[in-house]
Amino acid sequence: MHGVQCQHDLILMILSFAVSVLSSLTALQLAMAIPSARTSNDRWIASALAGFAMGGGAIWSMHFLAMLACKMSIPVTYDAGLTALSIIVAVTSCSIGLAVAGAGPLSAQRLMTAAGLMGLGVAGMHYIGMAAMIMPADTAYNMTMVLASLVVAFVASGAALWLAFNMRGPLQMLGSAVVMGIAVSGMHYIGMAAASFEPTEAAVREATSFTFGGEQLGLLIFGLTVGLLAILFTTNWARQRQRASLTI
Amino acid sequence: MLDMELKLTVARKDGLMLTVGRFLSDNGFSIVKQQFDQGSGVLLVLVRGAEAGLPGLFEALGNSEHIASFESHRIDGDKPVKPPAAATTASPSKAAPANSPMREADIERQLPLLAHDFPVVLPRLLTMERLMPESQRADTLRAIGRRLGAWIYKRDYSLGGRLSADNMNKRIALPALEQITTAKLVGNNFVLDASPFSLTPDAAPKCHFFCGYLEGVLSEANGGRPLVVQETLCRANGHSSCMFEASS
Repeated sequence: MHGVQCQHDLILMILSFAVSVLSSLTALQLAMAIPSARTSNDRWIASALAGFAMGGGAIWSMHFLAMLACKMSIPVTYDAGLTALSIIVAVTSCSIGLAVAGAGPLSAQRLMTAAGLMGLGVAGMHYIGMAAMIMPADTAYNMTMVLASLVVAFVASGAALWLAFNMRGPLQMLGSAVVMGIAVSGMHYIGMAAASFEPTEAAVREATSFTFGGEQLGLLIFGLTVGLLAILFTTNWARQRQRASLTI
Repeated sequence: MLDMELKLTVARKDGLMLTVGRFLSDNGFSIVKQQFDQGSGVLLVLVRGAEAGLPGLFEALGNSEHIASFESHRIDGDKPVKPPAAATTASPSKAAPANSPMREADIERQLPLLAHDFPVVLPRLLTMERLMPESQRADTLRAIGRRLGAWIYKRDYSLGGRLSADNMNKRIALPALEQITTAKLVGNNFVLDASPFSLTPDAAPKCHFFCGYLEGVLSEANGGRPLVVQETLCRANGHSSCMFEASS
C-alpha cells in the first residue's frame, strides 16, 4: 500500500501563520506585565495569561489550523482527551518559560532555560496533537527530522524571547511575534515532513472520550483567535490611553 | 480697532518673521510697519487689529522660542496695553526679570511646555538657563532633566524586560538622549560633541540638564533605584566633547 499523502491548502497554511503571529503578539504584549509585576501573585497571573495566549493561540490554534490545511484521502478525527492534553502542555510550558524570561535581566542561562521551556511547549503540543489523530493509518517518524524540528523550536523561541525582553522600540514586539510565528510554523511543518502515514486495515482505535471533527475544531480555533484579538486590541488601547495621560 | 506698537526682543532670528506674521494673522492683526534693529536685536512692529485678539497674541508671543521678551504700546493712547497675567508667566522670560531666581511655580509651569515641545526642548531650556542666576542653574537644570528623563522613560521605554547595566545604557539611555541631541556611547560613557550648554567657557562642567536627564531615564530603568550621573569632561572646560558617566 502506498503511504497517505498530505496535500496542504495554501490559504489555510498562510492563515495558520497569521494566527500564530497575531497570537504571539498578544502573548508578548501580555508578557510585558511580567517584569513590572510588583508581587509574585501579579507575576504568575501575568505569566498565566501570556502563557494561555502563546500556548493556546500561537501554538495550539496554529497547529490545528495547519492540520485542517492538511488534506488526506482518509477520514481523520481528533481524540478530545489528547487534544485537551496538548493545549495544557503548551499553555503550562509557555507560562513557565515566559515567567522565567521576565523574572530578571535576560542572561544567557535564563534565556536558554526559557527557550527550552517554550520549545518544549511547541514541540510537545505538536506531537501530542499528532498522537490525537484517529484515522485508518499508522504514523511513523523520521527521527533526524524530528530532531531538526526540536532544534528549530528551541532556537527560534530563544530568538523571539531575546527580542521581546531585551529590545525596546516599535520593532521589538512585531519582530518578536514574527520570529515566534516562524518558530511555531517552522517546527510544525518540519514535524509534518518527518511524519509518514501508512494506511492500515486494522480497526481504528477507540477515542479516550469524544472526538473533534474538522468543523468543530475550526469553530474552536475561530473563537479562540477572536478572543485573543479582542485582548490584543484592548491591551493596546489601554496602553495608548495610559501613554497619553502620562504627565511630567 | 486699535493701533499698537510691539517691541520684540529677539531670542532666535531664523524663522522669526514667519512666526511673528503667523501669530499676528492668527489673532486678527495686520502689520502696518516693521523695523528690525540688528544691533540691539529688537524688532519693532506696528500692528492694527481688534482688542479681542490681544490675549491670544500675547500668549503666542510669550510662549515663542523666537522672542525673549516684548512690550506693547497703544499708538493713540498714553499707557501701554498690559498683557494678561497668564501670558506673562507662560514664557520663561516672563516668569521673572533676568537673573532673579526662578520661582518653583514658574519652573513647574515650564515642565508641561517642555513635554509638549519634546524633543525640541533645548531652545526653551537655554532661555531658562540664561534667565536664571548662576547659583540656581546646576540644581534647577538637573532637576528639570530628571523629571523629563523619567517622563520619557515611562512614555517610550517602559515596555520590556529588565536589562543589565550595559543594556540599559545601550538600549534605553542612548536612544532617549539621541531624541534630543547627537550622542554616542563609548564604553560606559555617554559622549556629546555639541552640547549647547557648554558653549561658554567655564571652570566647572555646565551640562547639568543632561546629567539630570540621564539620571531620570536610568533611575526609572533601574526599577526606581537612583543612579547618579556625573559630567566627567565638558567642552566648557576646554575638552573636545562632553562626557557623562553613571554610577549607582
